[in-house]
Amino acid sequence: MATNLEFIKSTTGTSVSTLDVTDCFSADYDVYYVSISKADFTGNAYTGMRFLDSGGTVINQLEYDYATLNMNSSTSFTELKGTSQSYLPNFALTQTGSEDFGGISFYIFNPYDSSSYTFVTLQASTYGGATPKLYGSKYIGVHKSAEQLSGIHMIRSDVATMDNMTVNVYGVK
Amino acid sequence: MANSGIFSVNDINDLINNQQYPKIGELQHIQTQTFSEVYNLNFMEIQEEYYDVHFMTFNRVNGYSAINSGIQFYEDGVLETANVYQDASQYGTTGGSFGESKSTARNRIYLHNYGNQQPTGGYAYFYNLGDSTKYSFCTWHSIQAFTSSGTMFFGSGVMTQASKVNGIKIYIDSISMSGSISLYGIRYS
Repeated sequence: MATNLEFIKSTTGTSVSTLDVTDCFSADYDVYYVSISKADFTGNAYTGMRFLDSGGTVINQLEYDYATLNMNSSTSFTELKGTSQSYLPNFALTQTGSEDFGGISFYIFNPYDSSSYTFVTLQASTYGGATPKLYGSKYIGVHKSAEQLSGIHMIRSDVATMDNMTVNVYGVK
Repeated sequence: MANSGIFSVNDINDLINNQQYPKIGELQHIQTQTFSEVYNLNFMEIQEEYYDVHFMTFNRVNGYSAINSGIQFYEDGVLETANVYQDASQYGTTGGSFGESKSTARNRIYLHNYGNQQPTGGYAYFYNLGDSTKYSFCTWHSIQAFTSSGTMFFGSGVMTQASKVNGIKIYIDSISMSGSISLYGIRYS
């Protein structure tokens, strides 16, 4: 059988501080592709995410580990990492401006499998800053609890309002 | 299934189940170019009006000596060759060497090296190509197999001017290359 992406759900938020994509995981897929190509922000901050448990409640316990290489076009790259975090932080740094958000593509593995941890790989590209430059993220993350998840909870590190953001979720068949 | 010209709902469901009918949200093939000893490779029918995100795959791409590869964009049919591109990427070898590559003023988005008849495979995502109000971005991840080792590359790039991009050029230096590159659109992205 041919493989493909199968569109599951699109969620858009305008002038919100968090954005939930509910009930996007199911037994139909083991792997999910998530694309965020439309977003505008007014603050200088990183993007982050949590998961929703099977009841739709945001998981904010210290159950997340991550590691990322923060790349930019003019200065040395930096490693950011952490264990037992309350969310998956520090990807897709964006500044003020409508033209500066490139996109985020990430894959989520086994979110609906109650016997497995849930893993994330991610890559992002943005632009901006006081001295404008390119920012890139290469990222891995894990939710260290074997439980069934139902959705995604997007946040910003400055807890500021997202002018708008659209999150599209696909199943990888 | 024979095509009588009119699809019923059941026809469409059957075709979808057999992967023979496009749906919103699918990875949709735009073009594959298989090439041998070429010096330029352009994708000029990228259907930017339909897709916010494009996906490109590199399969067994190699140069006839070691060359640098990159991406340039066409803006309304005109190739942008000025130093308006920025990139930041990381490379690492199976021998344990890692390093950074970056620039705030390049004439292309630097992707990776193609070895001397050693194949490279990889993928790239492109964002905002058809949006004249946005910068055009990409990310990529690739692996090149040398005879004795492998090298991986991943990174991000941007063309720092808001414009509508309607073509992608695979930029190489003066050496020819061979291989296969495919372009897809991610529908409803």
